[in-house]
Amino acid sequence: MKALWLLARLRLKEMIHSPATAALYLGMPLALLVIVATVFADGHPFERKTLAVVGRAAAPSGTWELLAGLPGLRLREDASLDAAIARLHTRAASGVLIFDPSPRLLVGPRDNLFGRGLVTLLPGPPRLEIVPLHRWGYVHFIFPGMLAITVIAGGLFGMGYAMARYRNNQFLKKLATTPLSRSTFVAAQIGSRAALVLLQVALLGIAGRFLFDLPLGPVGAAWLALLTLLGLLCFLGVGFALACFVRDESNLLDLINVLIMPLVFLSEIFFPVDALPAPLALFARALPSTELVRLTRAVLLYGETSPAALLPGLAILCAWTLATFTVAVASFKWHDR
Amino acid sequence: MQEVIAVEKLARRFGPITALDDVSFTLAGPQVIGILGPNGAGKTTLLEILQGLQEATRGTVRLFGAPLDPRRYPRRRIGVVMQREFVFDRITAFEYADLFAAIHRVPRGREAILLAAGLEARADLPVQRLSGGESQRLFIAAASVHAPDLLFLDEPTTHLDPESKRAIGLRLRELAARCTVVLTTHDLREADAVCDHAVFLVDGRVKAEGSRAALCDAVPEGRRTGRGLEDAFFHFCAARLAEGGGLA
Repeated sequence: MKALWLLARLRLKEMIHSPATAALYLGMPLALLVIVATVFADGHPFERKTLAVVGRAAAPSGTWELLAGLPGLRLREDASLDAAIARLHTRAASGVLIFDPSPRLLVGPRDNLFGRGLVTLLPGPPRLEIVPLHRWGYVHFIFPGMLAITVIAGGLFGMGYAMARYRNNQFLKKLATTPLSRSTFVAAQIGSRAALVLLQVALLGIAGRFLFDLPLGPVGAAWLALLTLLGLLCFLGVGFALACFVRDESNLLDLINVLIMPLVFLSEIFFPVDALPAPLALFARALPSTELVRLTRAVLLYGETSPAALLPGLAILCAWTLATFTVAVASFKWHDR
Repeated sequence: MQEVIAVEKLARRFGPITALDDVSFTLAGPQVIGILGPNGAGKTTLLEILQGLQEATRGTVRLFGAPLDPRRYPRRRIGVVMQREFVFDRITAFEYADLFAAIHRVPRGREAILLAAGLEARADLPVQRLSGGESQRLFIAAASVHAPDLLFLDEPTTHLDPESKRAIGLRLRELAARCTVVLTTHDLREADAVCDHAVFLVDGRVKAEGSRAALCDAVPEGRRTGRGLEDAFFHFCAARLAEGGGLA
């Protein structure tokens, strides 16, 4: 009995070995509760319907204001019909309202009731069309999110945890006594992790293409590889920077675990950021992971490949990458003196 | 022989703890130099300062006749074997040798490392499955593949069996033909068998320093037991304790 008590006590001591670890262990469920409560403060984001509107300029006067005043309805304007229909297929929109040349409302079979109700409210009224939707549409929607999770985990664990482990095992100290340059060491870490993550993404892409009819062609695959590399560099930079400030291996591991959960909720992986409460949406939009998901979705699902349209997002990702690597490289030391 | 390391009034403090205090000596090479002392004497701290891994709180260090500047440390002229060497999971002796040959940019260095370590036939084994003596031979061979002028080893034979200790000692003697080997140990008999020169470090202070012969000769005839540096170490430590009023 005493052995049981001692073993249990030692294990507890091992798990909660420092005030920081104890705070993480005890604080993490609370933090998670706060995050989830904030994210879902207005109910599940998919409780509210998103209506994609095409050709707003041709809408009868007062229509937009009428729609904007409906509780539980979110409006978004789409420049092209194709993009709006792609949103319908991926369940990112519950309906597509088209005004030009004649008013039509497209909805999926499951939103028949919503469509019938909506047309009765609108002037015109628009013609209701029930469109058969792609079976795996929502899987297509969350595919970029799976990619983002792979990149986030690969970056944070791949660089952050590895660096902390090397520091704790004195490997960095050993390397400091050799002529190996810091850039060679960092490039090796990036290269190995990039190879692994690209392989993971390639497998994801193949599975997505052949199991779930993901619209992934050669151009999409090339964009996917580029975005993966850019996103990975960004999160490797975050992991690198974290490892420069949090020296202890297990503390870093706890911190990464704490970071991943909100990143998954706030990066538009499962639902659009616009569905979040306003201040949280503002924060979520600034995350590099959100930009990665949006860019991937734009390229793969909405057929956007024009550099001009993608440039702002790419610039944000590049800025994040540059910022995190600058902080990390400036703070990196082989060892503490 | 010429001056390799010169240390003057070196001190290192960690908060309220003084790890090294007023340490001064000059060491010439090539030869085997032992920094001897009990656990906690400050041996590793001293070694890390000499390796450019730590900064002294006070005092100066000269390496190869030039003041030690950690930013321009002569990494190509030194080799280091740490007290606990890190090895990647499942890395083989072959891969380990390959890595350090590449880091030091030595053509055919991998073969040289495996040959020096006597591991050509066991190159495909994971390092973690090698015996303690084999691993240590591999680490020493990898740290000296670039023919450094100065080789540091922190407790290189701790936990090794006597046969392995002897083999490591022989290897260090071979290396000392062209390279200054500085090792720390608390094994006085091993030091006696290997070292040409010794620094006795206790509680962060140098109790005595000199060639093996000079240190042994300083022991009064009546206190010699034929154990060389071990006799000398206890002679100088006892003398210091007597000065402090402890045991005398």
